[in-house]
Amino acid sequence: MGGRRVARPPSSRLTGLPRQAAFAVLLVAALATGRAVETLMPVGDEVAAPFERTGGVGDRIEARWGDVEVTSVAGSTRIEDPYGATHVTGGVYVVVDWTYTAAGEPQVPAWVAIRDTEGRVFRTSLERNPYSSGGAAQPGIPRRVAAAIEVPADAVAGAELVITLEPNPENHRRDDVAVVDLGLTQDDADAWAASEEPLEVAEPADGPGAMS
Amino acid sequence: MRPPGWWRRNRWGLIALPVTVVAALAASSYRVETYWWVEKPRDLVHAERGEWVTFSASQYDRTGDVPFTVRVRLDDVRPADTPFGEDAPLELPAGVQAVAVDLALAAAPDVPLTSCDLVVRDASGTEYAYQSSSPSISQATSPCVPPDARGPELDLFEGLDPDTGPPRPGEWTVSPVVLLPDGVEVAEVLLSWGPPDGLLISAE
Repeated sequence: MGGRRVARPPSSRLTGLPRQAAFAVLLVAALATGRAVETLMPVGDEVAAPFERTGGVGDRIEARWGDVEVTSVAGSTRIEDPYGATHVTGGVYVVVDWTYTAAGEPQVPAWVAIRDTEGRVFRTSLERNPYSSGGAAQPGIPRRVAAAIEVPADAVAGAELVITLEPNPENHRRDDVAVVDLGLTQDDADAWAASEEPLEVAEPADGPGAMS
Repeated sequence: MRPPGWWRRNRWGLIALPVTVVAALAASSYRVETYWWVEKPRDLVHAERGEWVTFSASQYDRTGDVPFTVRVRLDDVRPADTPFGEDAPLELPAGVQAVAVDLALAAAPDVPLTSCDLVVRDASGTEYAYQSSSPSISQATSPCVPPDARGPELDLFEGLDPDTGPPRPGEWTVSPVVLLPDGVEVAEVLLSWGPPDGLLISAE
């Protein structure tokens, strides 16, 4: 194929210029194509998006790093954390009990958050949003944990619990994230925003427990 | 005269191509070491149960690299009654078993060996780690040294003497306890004083 061009009668001065021009045109076209692909296609967000493994309360959701099952959801304006301290909110405390079973090696689900229908994210924290993983869970041994997260009352209906290993959300890219639809309604939100009964936030424990 | 063919005209480019590809991959592979190679023990010395094996590796602290040599023998992997270094009997949740990993070790008393990780693996490669504290167990912090005679620590903090406790004997035994689900059989024991070096002992 390439030899054909050389076999033509040489027009010495003209051959060099069109080839260089063609090369320049190709180079610019390649750069422009790359730029177009980068800007016009949603590569940045789509390629890096986490893989959401979804389910509801009572479903066993399988992820790369283990499986997750929410066993109960409750709410109130007051909680009692594992250290005996009571916390009060002007919004709602959503208290989720769930079981985590690691796969492959001991692992810790360090990111636990509630995501509302608007996409707002409310994370667990050291003081006001208690959640203790109990450290890395051995694979195959179910770890029962509880998370209490303070949210505004308008975030309750349709809220999801989001669980994954990496504490830094930047590192959720291309990793499995368990997303549990908590099945909450506006009625739950209203009832919980009016409830003053303190909910106990359980300490982490191993084993299947009495629930299952 | 025949003009030179395409392969001949482009021979230097063709020779350079594989070199360039390798150089490009190497230049973009700097994370392989950080995120993979030193993430877990991967450069393994293999040994069998019941035999002494000599393991040499290096740790590092404020003073720089701290090379060490330790001799290790795996004696047994058996059901455990008590946590390592504790007297109170184990209280395990349903579906959980505890295995004690009986190891004999020998090293010079001035070698810091406290910061070691112990992992047991089943035949499928699933790993269960030694944990000094979890909701179901509380035991000695290091699985590799006698809890009452740990020997020197790595020199990690300025102003802290790394060697204050009772001296470690020249040879000693430990029985760290690992929790596993019922029915899991331990196939291998993996000891490491910092990746990528590790000592893999078959428990069969």
